[in-house]
Amino acid sequence: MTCKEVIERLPEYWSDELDETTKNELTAHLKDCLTCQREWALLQTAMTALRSAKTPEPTPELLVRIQAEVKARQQRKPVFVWRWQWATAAAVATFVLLCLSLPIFQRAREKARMLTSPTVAERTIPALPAPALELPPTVAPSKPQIPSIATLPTPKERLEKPRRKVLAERPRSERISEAPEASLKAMGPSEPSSSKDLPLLSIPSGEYREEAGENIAPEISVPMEKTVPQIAQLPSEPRKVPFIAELELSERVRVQKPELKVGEVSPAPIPESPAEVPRFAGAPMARRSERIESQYPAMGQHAVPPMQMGGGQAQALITVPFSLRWKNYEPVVVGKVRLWELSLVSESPQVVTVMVQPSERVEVLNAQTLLGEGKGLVLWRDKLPALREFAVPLLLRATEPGARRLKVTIETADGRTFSWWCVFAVVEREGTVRIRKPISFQVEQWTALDLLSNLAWESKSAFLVPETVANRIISIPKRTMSIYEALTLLERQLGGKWLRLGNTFSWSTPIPAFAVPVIKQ
Amino acid sequence: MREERQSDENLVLKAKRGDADAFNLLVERHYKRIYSLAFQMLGNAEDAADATQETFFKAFEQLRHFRGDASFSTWLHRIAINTCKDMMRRNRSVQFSQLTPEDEHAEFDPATLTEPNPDEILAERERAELVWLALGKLPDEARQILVLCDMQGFSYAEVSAILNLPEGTVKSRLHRARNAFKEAWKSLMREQIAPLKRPKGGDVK
Repeated sequence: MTCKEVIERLPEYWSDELDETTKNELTAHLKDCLTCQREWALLQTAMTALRSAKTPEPTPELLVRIQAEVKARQQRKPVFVWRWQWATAAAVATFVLLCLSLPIFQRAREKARMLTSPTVAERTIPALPAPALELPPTVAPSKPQIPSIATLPTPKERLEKPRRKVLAERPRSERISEAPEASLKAMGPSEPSSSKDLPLLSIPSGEYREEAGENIAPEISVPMEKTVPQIAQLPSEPRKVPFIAELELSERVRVQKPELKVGEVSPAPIPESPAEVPRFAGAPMARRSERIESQYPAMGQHAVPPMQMGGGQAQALITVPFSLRWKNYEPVVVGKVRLWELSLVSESPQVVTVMVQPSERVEVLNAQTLLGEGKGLVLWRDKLPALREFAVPLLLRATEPGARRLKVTIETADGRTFSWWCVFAVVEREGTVRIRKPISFQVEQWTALDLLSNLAWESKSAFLVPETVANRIISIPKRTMSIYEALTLLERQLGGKWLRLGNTFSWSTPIPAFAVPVIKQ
Repeated sequence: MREERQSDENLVLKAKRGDADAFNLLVERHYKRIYSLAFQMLGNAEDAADATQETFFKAFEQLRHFRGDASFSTWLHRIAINTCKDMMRRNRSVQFSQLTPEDEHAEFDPATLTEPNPDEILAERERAELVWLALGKLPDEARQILVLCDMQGFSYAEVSAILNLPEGTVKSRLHRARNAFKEAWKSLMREQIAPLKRPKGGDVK
């Protein structure tokens, strides 16, 4: 046995699945071969670690969330079931109607044949040079000769003829845009069209076809006058099952209603970040797996591309239209100039001004124009095309070691502003970024910005958070944990994620559930 | 009187008839296991929670297609595996990486090794994180089979039912996957030992 063969078969040896001969051979090889012995030891360690690796327990909220959603879905389910049941019922009713009407139809044809001597017509037509083109598809000449039957149309004609007639009377544009919902409304009792035409025109879906079918079927064998009041009653009946498109719409409205409290103030004032928008209990943030959100691939940090949703119309989106991230962070060494970059992406074309407000003992060398008190320094001002990344350079110099801050504000041409905080470490000399370092927490309550300042200093890395996130309060258990653990804790409490690029961490808030387009009603 | 434990099959039947409580009982019974599977596949808590809830929602929607050829648990695990694979595919297209245990070890700082460890738990966590890191280096196929066989403890027959593969294929894939895991583990160990050998004050990055 060669070493290669032995190494390949070690997993089977480990799980004791080799036959005796191979096993003995392998054992013998292992006794003498140092390389294979090392591989064997490694496999054992790796497998032990794999099997003993503990997975964390899910949070109890997960169970609650799943169960609540299951309940909600179950409540929605019967509607769909009903829709299918109605469709099936309609299909059955149509079939029964056709079966019932077939003998009458055949009898009528036989009568017509007897009266018009169709055999003659059939014989003469093929003799013509181009009969199919010149003659109408139905044997037209026979019609005027059957006055008795003309008053009693075939069931098929009953279904189609008036519809064609009514449609023809209406303007074309109206016919095209005739939505099923509109036709439902057309069923209202105030509609002045003739009672005979009404139900036929306004059969919107399975359930109505079925109801109409039930009424039409007896109509064939009963005198006309009797059927008219029956059909006339139809429109006034309350609708039990909503129409498909309407159903989806109402469902969506129902699902979103509680969350649209903010959206209803439309056109919504755009908040600085999604975190600014109040959250609602139960579903603080849309999870990635939710259908709503999966329709919106997250473009950037907070962006939600505006789009239409199915039948609903996008009216207002609550979103921060910019994505801002740090690039190329390296810890700032006292006195040295560091070049960083801000990666800026906008979801729509904008004219923007990027401003910075450095804290004490920090200079931004490439920002010059003073904007006035509280506004900071202009760093960059330009047109920003949609969805294209712009790197805004940032030249930094710091004079003393410590955790430092920098406020970055983006102002759009229409005066809206969006702010982020950058927290970074200024150190004496170059070092390694350490996010695994354990820290003992002695204080329970922190503002996110203070906590990040500490973490930035300890880990020698930089964090970028929207201003509103920076002001949130974080609870940290009083114990020792790694910086990494503290960061995941922040993720959990603030409902977002750290997006890492090199040694910088930019806060990314998942698209909130309420960032769903408001539906026009 | 203590309520008698209902079998999964019973609950599935009830759930199929529209009993949401029955389905929720199934959720309660299985969510921990599905979560741990998702965690092992995806390597972080957030995604694992997402995958877990997506698995149950899918199961709920597809319940009428469940014929009972396999057990409910097997069927659920199959959905979970597919959901995780979808998520891994989706995550791969993300340009910016997320904070994962991998990040932590990407710039492993040996200085923390010399510092006294705050407690034993951290060491255990580190070993577990190395496992996720090693698993993360494997192709999806190898990872899923290791997770199912070695972490979840399913038998060959069960794994073959979940993945819809012949048992022989499961076995051969598992052996290959174990070897691949060992290789990943080995390379991680090397990465860890290497910085320790460098002179002090050197660039450890």
